[in-house]
Amino acid sequence: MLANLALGFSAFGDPMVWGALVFGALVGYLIGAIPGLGPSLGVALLIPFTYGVDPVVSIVGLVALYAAAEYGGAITAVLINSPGTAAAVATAWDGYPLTQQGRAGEALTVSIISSGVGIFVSTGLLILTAVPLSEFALNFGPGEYFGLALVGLSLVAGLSDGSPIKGMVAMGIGLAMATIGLDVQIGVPRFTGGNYELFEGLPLVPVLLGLYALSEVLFMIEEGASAKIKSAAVGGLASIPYKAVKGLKVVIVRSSLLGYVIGVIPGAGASIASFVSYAVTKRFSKKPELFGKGSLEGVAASEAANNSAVAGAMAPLLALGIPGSATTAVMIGALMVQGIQPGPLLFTRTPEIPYTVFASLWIGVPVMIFIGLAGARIWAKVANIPRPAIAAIVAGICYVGAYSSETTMFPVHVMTACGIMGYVLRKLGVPLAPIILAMVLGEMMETNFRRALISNQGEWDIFYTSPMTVILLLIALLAFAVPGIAALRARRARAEKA
Amino acid sequence: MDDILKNDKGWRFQLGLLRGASPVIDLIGSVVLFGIFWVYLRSSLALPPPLNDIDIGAGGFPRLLALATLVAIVAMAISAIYRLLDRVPVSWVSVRRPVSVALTTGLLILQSVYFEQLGALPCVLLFGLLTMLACGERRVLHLIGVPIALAAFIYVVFVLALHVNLP
Repeated sequence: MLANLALGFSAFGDPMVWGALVFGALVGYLIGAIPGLGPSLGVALLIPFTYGVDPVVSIVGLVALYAAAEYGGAITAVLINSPGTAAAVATAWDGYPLTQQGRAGEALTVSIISSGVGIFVSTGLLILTAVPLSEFALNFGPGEYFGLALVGLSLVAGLSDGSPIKGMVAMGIGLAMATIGLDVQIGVPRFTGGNYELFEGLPLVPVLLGLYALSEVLFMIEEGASAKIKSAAVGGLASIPYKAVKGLKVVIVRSSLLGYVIGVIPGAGASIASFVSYAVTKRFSKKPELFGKGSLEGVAASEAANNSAVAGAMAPLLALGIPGSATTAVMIGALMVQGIQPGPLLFTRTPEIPYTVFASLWIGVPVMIFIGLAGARIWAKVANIPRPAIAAIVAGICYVGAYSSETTMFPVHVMTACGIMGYVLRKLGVPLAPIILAMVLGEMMETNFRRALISNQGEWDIFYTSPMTVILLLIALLAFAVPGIAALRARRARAEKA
Repeated sequence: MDDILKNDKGWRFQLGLLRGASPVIDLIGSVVLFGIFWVYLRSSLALPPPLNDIDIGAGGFPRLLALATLVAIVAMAISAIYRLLDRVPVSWVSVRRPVSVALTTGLLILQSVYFEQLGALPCVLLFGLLTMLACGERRVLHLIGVPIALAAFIYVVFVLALHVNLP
């Protein structure tokens, strides 16, 4: 493991890798600081810029963007009470009251340092858990793989915003999209309508750009030219409040551990990690009355956890090839563009990729803390970039990016269709993350489903005689049932009140 | 539908805002999705049978998928009907600035049709300007400056750095 880790760090001998790290971090901060644009959209938009670029350089840029976008969301949350990402909502609860008390610099410094420590601790955990996880997964048969993919999908669909039923519909839409093209086993064209361009299936990058980025343009149009947000004065950034940070070390480490564990669970992600960590910290705090009124503990808990979840979400992605969040689903698409297939074999066939990810997460910490602190005033102003300009920029990059993916018009048409579809589905309350996840995992799911049946002479008992498969299928079932029952109970309670 | 309107659970059109009751929207969405997946199911049934008894063939997985999704769509429709009849006040789905959204959707389609004929950079310039106008931008300097800067950025990154042959 140490030799492979050294291999990962050696990638940073290339100045291009450093360039990618800094570029990814800058773009990530930019995306994270703009309310409404999240890391998923950022990673999707960056994919076209990775065409023809070395896979290691690309992956470092993408990982840096993902982590920095989670950092960036906190800056606007603290300064203007406008969380750049959903995961920074809990940060705003205490960060903004601190700003109102004239302690913006202190709040920002604590949030950025907590984020950095969160990433640092969770990367250590990622290294310790991802490798054994991938070795364990090498023993999986097709039945287990099918079950695993179904669990990943079900958890994301069941736990996503909105109703679990809509999550299930989203999963169906994504899987249906994945079945378009030539059948992987016997080569029969399916659902292509005679269009030969669909024989290879729907191109992933234009689908990602359409669903995540172009649909967002239509939401920006709805908002119109927004009014300027008044930003608070930021002072005291140069001085690190050592005493305050020292007093928060238990909170930061505990939140980092919690964030990592929650991040590993597919579907849970950074938002849930920050809320849970905030609640746990409040529960154990000696000054719970300060929470919501300007508690540094609250800021540290939320930020350490949501950034720690970034490394947590990487564990199932790298070790099992199962993305656990919308952003890692987009990331898997970016890896596939580079010809990299995440999963257990990644660690044995191309160890430089996962270990460079680990190294970049660690090396990225001081870089991102520096960029975050040095540019805090600028990032706070980023939220004021006019929406019309962002809409035009996102749309322009989408079109050129989609065209560049195959240098034909077909991906452009696919992206436009997916953009409009994404807007309509979001209006319907159908989450997009399960669609992307299902599209990414669809082929693997179907192949393993059929392989499992063939290996068992066509008998279906393979899905209920293997203990591991049974456990996985039960988890998948519970992923829909539990949130469904909870939603039904909540509705009944509301009905009784009404 | 009249009853629904009387009960304040139907459509309402205001200048700058189009909104409908969430269960009604869900019901319409369910019908559309049901139609799509019905066609998908029929297409999967038309796929060639498996080559041997131990495989489910090219259509087996899509058939299972279509059936499961149809069940979910029916559940979505039932849930929508239940919410319509329920005492809990309905939530609303709204489209702000619907005319601008419709215009931009048209612009996106036009851009995808004429991207190759017009050329990538002229397209970025023209549609960037139009998108900003649709989004409510009226400052001339911004309307001119942003598309030009964007086109220049795209030229430098995609053409000069990444050597992409843009139309």
